[in-house]
Amino acid sequence: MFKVSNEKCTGCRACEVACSYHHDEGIFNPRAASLQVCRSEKEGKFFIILYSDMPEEKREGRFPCDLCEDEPQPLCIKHCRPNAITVDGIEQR
Amino acid sequence: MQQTFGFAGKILRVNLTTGDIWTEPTEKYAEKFLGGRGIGDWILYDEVKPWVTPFDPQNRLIFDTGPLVGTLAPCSTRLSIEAKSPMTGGVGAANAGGHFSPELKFAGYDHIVIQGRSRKPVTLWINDEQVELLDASHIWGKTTWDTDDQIKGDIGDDTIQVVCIGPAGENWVRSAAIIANRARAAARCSLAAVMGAKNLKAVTVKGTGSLRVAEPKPFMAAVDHAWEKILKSPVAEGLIGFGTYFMTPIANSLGFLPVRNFQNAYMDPRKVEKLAPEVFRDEYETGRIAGFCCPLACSHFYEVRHGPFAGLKCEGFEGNDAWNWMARFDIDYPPAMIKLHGLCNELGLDEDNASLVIGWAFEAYQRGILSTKDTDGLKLEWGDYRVVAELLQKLAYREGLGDLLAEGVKRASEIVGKGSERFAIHVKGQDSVEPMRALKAYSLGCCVSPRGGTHTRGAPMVEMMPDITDEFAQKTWGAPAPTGPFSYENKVEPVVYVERLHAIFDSVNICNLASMWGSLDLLNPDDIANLYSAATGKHMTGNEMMMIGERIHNIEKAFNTLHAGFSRKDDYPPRRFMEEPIASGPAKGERLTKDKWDKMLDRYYELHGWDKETGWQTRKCLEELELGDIADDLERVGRLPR
Repeated sequence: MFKVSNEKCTGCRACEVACSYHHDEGIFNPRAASLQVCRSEKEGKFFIILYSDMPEEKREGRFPCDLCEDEPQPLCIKHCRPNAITVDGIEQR
Repeated sequence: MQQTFGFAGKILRVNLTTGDIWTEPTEKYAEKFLGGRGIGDWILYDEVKPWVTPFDPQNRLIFDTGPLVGTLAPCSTRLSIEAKSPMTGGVGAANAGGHFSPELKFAGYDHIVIQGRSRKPVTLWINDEQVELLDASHIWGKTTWDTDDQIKGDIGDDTIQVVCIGPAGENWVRSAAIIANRARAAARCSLAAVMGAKNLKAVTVKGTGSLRVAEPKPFMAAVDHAWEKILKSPVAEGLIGFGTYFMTPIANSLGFLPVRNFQNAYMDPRKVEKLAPEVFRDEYETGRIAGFCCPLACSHFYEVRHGPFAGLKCEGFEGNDAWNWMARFDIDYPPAMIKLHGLCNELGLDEDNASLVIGWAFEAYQRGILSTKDTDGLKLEWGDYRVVAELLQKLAYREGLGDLLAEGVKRASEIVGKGSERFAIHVKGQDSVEPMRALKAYSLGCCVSPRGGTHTRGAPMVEMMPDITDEFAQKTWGAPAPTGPFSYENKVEPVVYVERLHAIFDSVNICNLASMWGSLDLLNPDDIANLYSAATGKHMTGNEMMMIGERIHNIEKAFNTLHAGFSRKDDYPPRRFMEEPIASGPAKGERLTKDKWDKMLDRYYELHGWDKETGWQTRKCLEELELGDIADDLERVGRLPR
């Protein structure tokens, strides 16, 4: 199961960009990613929405998460430098 | 339409006078000018004629993304902006981080080129393919923070990206900045005043499209290499921990602070200690903020809980703020630093230039050149942050003394006279915040910058890096390593190298802080070439990229020669830095001397293939860069030496 630590997130959105690439090789489109980083620039706070936890009708056409099955680790985790996203049993490289 | 890789593929064109909106392909510019600032510079050169003035509707305001923006390339976040500069009448350019630039690309555009002037205030609303001008009468007059709120509320979507001007840009203040994400300032050259003159309050964008790279696997290999390089660099630790502000104690140890408007360059370390990077981290920081795909997240968010500024929350600052508030005004109260920085963003001011011109006024007051009769009753005494805040407000609204300061330090000092020109620090008419004198290559880079005094063109950081080997330096820029920070030896070659380096980073729009500018183990031209080649499918080497960097630099140089008539005489440092040695500290006695400066300039022109006597370009150098048309333009006005 994914775990999210919003306090650690810096709002860079690399997780979204990496996720979209995994689902469609050669393509970058954060709005198709299985997760979304919401930025509150007024408060300096961010929170991550995991669409994988939602039923399909609420996913807004986003790709369902498959934990990047063909990769050594999910690309969102690999590119989350502040370690805001983790999955049970998978360590960040 | 033909499939494009790396680029979004289109340039959005907007004529604010007629309301016409159209697009053209990016393709026709990309091969020769790379992208980003390179393409923006060329469009500016090609379309703005020398008789057009900066506030004329015919001036262009050009927003650039770049071919790597929006991809997983690290720090692929920057927005470059160009226009004819209200400060110098030459080339104007600024650059901001944040999240606007990738959003514009996801909407399908590599650039926006704005011309004309709207009859009434408008915003440009880009919703993918749908682009329209919206009435902004109800937003005009608002600060950048309120503008951001209002636009997101009007559209009903807080994921959209906004760049806007505040009162300073609306009032054509020459130290105004265009602000993205409430805190990311495209600051230098007052391009916000150009935006104000066009009656354009904001550009708002929502992009839902995709970007495609040509060679996915090689691209991801280049991405992995670049990420790893950045995170392994020792500089990353400083930037992650404290942002560029981590440099503050080092700056003092190198005679690198503009104390009381450059009357000295060194402060009592006990004062610096009061505003140490750790103070802000431990007492005010609530989190970190990253630009798009930036693993460094060098920006930090602050909250003030006690004292006169209690309740203030805003994104924090850069190393420049140690110059702007701590050193220039001798302020030692940490929340005042946060407040003054935040206030500049809110009012849409370039905090470097706003601070510079107010610092000049403080010195004029100290010397009795200005009195309370001129300052609306304010006592301009060093250390008084309340007066600085008051003057920032007056500056943005052009009230009282603010109306004079809004002209920039060159014009203001010429109006006031009485010797105040001697401590008006500018290069080519562009206010310069950089402490020169101690570091010679850095000083040269600031003075020969085409956009006027600035450290983000050719000012290298190599003088702060003691471990450079001759072998590395020879291989990289073709000269032995610089001999110590304060010497003049082997200082010119890195300047020319860094000019080209910045030109390519600004043209693929990857943040300069990820480049080898700040630390030699960071991204180099080959790394950018690998990313660019795999992204676009157009293969290029690092050396070929640097050649395009030289071409871009030459376009800016030619723009200045044609529009502002700049020549060798405009490449000298501000008088103070030649006449007054640094008074104390490790760089005590350092100043810039004319004979040694002349030798550096000779070498600088020689490396570029320019004429030493005039400082102008030659036909040979321009034709080698495939810029023969520019040589013709210069020859026509008698500014092409034989």
